[in-house]
Amino acid sequence: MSTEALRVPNIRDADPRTAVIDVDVHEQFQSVKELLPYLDDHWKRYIDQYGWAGMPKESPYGVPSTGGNTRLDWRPQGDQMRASTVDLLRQQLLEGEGVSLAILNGLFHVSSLSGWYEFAGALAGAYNDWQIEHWLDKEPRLRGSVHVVAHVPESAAREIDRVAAHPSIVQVFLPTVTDRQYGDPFYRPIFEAAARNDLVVALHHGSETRTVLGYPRYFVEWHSAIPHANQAQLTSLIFNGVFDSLPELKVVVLETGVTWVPHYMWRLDQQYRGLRLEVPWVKRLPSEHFRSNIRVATQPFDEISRVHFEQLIDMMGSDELIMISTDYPHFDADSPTKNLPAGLADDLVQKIRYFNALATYPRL
Amino acid sequence: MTKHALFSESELAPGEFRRVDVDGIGIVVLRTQAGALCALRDVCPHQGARLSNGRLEAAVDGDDVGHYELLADRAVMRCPWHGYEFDVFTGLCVADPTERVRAYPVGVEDGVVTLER
Repeated sequence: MSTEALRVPNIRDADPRTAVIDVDVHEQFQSVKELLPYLDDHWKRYIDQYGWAGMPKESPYGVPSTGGNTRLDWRPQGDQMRASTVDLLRQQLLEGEGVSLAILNGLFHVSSLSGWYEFAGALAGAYNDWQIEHWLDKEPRLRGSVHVVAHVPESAAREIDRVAAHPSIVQVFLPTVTDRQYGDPFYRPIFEAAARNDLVVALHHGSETRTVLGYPRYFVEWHSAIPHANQAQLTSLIFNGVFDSLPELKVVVLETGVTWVPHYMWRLDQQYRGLRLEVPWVKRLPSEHFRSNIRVATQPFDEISRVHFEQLIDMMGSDELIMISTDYPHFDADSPTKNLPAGLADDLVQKIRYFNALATYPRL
Repeated sequence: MTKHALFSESELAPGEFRRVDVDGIGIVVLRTQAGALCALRDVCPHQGARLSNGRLEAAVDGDDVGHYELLADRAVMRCPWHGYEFDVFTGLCVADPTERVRAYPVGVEDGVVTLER
């Protein structure tokens, strides 16, 4: 693994008036066979001889958008997979949308495999090495994530320590699973490993993410309910003391929008005031933990007015919680420069597009 | 600040509390299990319930998930409505110190509980 990343220009030297840090970008491979060079011979056989073709898709849906699950003008010609090369990403996102720096989250949720953790772990390591060689070492405007098998926490922590040696790695990626609770002390080694390596932990849903109704009858129902699953995991983290034990840790909630935050803060605070004695290891109001440890990303951005957005910031009690995200290359990707309401103060826009990410990711 | 004589000290055993009226102000006077006398305004700042309709409990602390410690030297009055906890010595809401009830100085003189307000 190369440790010589191309880290010019330094994003902290960018012009805040134009800089955009996109915190949710999904690179992917053309085929899972791209991982073969990074797998041991034993595991290679499952792909090149035994027919393992990739992560199973658990949800039943197709996406009835103009380009399926891909923004139509980002669909490559022929059989090329969307977002599958650095050149495509440069042209469509960095140049096409004016993104200064993009944080990669992949689309390869090894933690969603409900068994066969040895293979999942091998896949995680292979994906991490592939991401570094094919993306991070090729484009200095990209930063990456460590993908881990969460359900084997000690092994996941070792993988975090290994991959964090690369200077372009800025976070640990955890899919928003709905059958396990990340606040359970069982998972603490993952968060401890992230914290000791100055990495953010990102939560992002996938096809494995159920709603409280399981998989509803229609995609629009499932996609509308994504915030619930992320809120449930955040609640688990807060009330199981993750942020009390790791006060420097940042958790970023992706593809969940931002308008739910005031309700969520108020709800947890109200519950905590009356039921604190059940969780005495939580030493601060949940809203205080949120403001110090949790960050959210804009996409999919609810279409609200400037006035409502300013009220939202006021209700959050901080203008440092929101960061820009596009969700490139998916069907509902937002423009990173046109998604916010017109007329917001320049300093607020610059925080959302740039400064808040700098403050969130210690390794940027 | 005026000192008010309330009732005989022997009328309040450890773990007991009672509501008194001082100049038209409702106050809950209590004795912790450890024997300390305390007094709080008898109105929860949340929605106005009488704390004297709630419970006097040992405060709970803990630093590790799943481990609880009952504190012998700290007690809380818990509101009967939503369970908010108020430190009997300071009146501060344990979960949210921005919420508080007024705490009054109390003492014993010649076997009588006194309160200053």
